[in-house]
Amino acid sequence: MDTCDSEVVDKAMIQIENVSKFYGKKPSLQGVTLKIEKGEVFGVLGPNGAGKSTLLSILSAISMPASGRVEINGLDLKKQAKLVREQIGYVPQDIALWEHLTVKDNLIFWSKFSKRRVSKEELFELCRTVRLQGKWNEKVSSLSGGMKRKLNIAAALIHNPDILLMDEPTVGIDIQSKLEINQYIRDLARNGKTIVYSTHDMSEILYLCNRIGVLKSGVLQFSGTIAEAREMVKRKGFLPNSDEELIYLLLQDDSLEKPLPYF
Amino acid sequence: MNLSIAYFKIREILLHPLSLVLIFFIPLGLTLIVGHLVEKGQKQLEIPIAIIDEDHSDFSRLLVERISGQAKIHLYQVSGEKAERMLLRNDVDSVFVIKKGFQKRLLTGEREQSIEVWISPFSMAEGIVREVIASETARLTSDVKAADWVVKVYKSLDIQMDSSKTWNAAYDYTDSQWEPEPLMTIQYDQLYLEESGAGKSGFGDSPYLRLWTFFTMLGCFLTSDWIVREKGVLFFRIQSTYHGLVSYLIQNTVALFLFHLFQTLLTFYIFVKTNIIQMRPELLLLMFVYLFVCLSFSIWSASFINQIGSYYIVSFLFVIIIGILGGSFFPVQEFSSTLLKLSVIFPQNLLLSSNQMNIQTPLFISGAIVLWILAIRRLWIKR
Repeated sequence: MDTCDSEVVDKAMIQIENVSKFYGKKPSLQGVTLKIEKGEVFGVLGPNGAGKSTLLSILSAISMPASGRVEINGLDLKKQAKLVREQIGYVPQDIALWEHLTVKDNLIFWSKFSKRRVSKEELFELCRTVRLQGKWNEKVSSLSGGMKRKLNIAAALIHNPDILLMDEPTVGIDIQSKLEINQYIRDLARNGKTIVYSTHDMSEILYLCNRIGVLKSGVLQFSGTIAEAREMVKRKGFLPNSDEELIYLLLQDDSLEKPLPYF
Repeated sequence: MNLSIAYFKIREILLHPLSLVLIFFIPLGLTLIVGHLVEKGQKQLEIPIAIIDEDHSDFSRLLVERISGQAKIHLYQVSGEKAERMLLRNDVDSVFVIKKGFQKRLLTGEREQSIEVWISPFSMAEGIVREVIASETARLTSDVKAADWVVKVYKSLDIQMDSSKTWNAAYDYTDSQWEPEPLMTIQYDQLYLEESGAGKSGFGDSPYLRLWTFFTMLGCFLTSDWIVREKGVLFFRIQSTYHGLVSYLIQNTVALFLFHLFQTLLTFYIFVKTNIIQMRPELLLLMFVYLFVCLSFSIWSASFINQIGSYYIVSFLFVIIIGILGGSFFPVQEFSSTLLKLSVIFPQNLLLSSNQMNIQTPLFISGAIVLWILAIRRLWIKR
C-alpha cells in the first residue's frame, strides 16, 4: 500500500515525521509520517489496537514519541509541550466530566486548566452552540448520553484551540445526537479548525473527513482522500461497489492481495 | 502560579455537604461521640458499692470520704434498708457497714470486726474493695497507735506537754506519711510505660486524642477517593491541558489540606476548652504534622487502586490495622517490647508517645513528602 509523502510542507498544521512509540517492547506506532493541513478533517481509521489512540495521545502531548518529530502549528512537541497543549483541544473516547457538577461548573472548571481567561458569558455561548443552554444549571449526571457527548466536545473548545483531536466522540449515542455532533464538527472545520477524528463509523468518515489515514499494527498503511483510496485499491485489482465497501477493504487485517469473503 | 483550580475545589467542597461531613464530622464529631462513650464505659467499669455509716463519727466520715475518692470505686452512702435492696437488685457489688462504736474501737486499738460486709452470690469484686477498706482502716489505726505511742513516750520522759495537742500533732504527722502514696508501696517495674513515654506525656492518656488519630486518618483516606474516581479518563484529559495534571494534583491536595487543617484547629480548640488536652502550641504543630502524614499516605495509597469499592474496603482495613498497631485505640506498645519498637514507625507515635518535637518529626515530614512525590509520579507514569 501507499504511504504518505514525507516531504515538509510549511503550511501544515500538524506535521509528523517518522514517529515511533513502544509500550514495553511492543511497538504501538512505527515510523508514522503524516501532515494535516489547516481546516482539514482528517479521519484516523484502523482496527482495535492499531495505534489510533496512541497517535492521538502523542498529538495531544499526553505522551511523547520514542523517536521521530512532531510539529504542531509550528511548535515542537517535545520542546514546547505546554504551549502545544494550549493549541489543541482533546476529546477523549470516554466522558471526561465531573458528573456531580452542573454543566456550568464543568465548563468553568475546565476553563481553569487553560492559559486563557474565559468569561462566563463565553462559556454560556459555547454551551448554546452545542445546544445545551437549557441545561446550564443541571447536573451532568442528569443529562442523556448524547448531551454528555456534546458537553464533552464543548469542554475541549473552551480555550478556542486551533486543533481538535477527537477519539471516537460519538460512540454509543443515538442517531439524532450523532448527526447534530457531526454537523457541528463540519461547522468547526469550516471556521478554520483542524480536526483529527478517530472513529470506527464508516458513515461518519464519509460525511466528515477530507482525508483519511489507515493504521494497522502501528503502521500507517494509507493516507489520502477517498478518491485516492479508490484508485489505490483499483490498482490492486479490486472494484468496491460503494465507499463503505472501499473502507471495509482498507480496514481488513489481511493483505489486499487475498480475495475477501465480503465480496 | 495560577491557584484558580484550588479556589474552585474549595468552593466545590463548601457546596457539597457530604465533603464537609467527611472532613469535619468524621474526625471531630465521631471523636467526640465515641470518646464520650469510651469515657462513659470507663466509668461503668468502676465497682459500685454501698456503705452504711452507723457510727456517724469523725473516723467513719473520713473513711467514707477516702473510699469515695478511690478512682475505681463508685460509692453509694445509703441507709441499711436501701443498701439491702440495691444488693438484691445487683445495683451494687457489695455492702459495707461501719458499725456503731467504730471510732471508739479504733481509738482503743481494736479494728477487727469493726466493719461488716454483705455480699450476694453475684458479688465479684468484694475482695478488692475489702482490701481497699482494710487499708484505709489500717491507716486510721496506725495513726492512732503512733499518736498514742508518742504521748506515752513523752509521759515516760516526763516532758511537759498538752496531751491532746501532742496526740493530734503526732496523729497528723503519721497520717501525712501516707501521702502521696501508702506506706511500704512496692515500686513496680514500669519499663514499657517509661520507655514509650506514654505515662509522662499526658497526650496519650486521653481517649479523645487517641480516637482523633484514628478518625483523622480515616477522614483523610475517605476524602482522597477523588484520585481513584478521576484517575482514569479525567486525569488523562487533564494531562492534555495547559496547566496539566501536576498542577491539578497539587492544587486539589492543598485545598483538601486546608479544610483538614481547619478541622484540626477546631479540634484543638475544643479539646483545650474541654480540658481534654493542655494548651500547648507544640501539640498543635504535631497534630498538623500528623495530618500531613495521613493525607500523603492516603494519596499514595489511592494511586495504587483503580476500583472505588476496593479503595474503600482496603482503606478501612488499612486504617484499622494502622490504628491498632499505632495505638489509636489503646496503648498497644505496652504489651510487648516488639510492639514498642514497632510503634515508632507509625505516625500516631508523634502524638501519643512523644511529648515533644524530636528526630521523628522531620523524618515523618520527609517521608510524607516522598510519598506525595511517588504518588504524583505513579499517577503521571500510568498515563
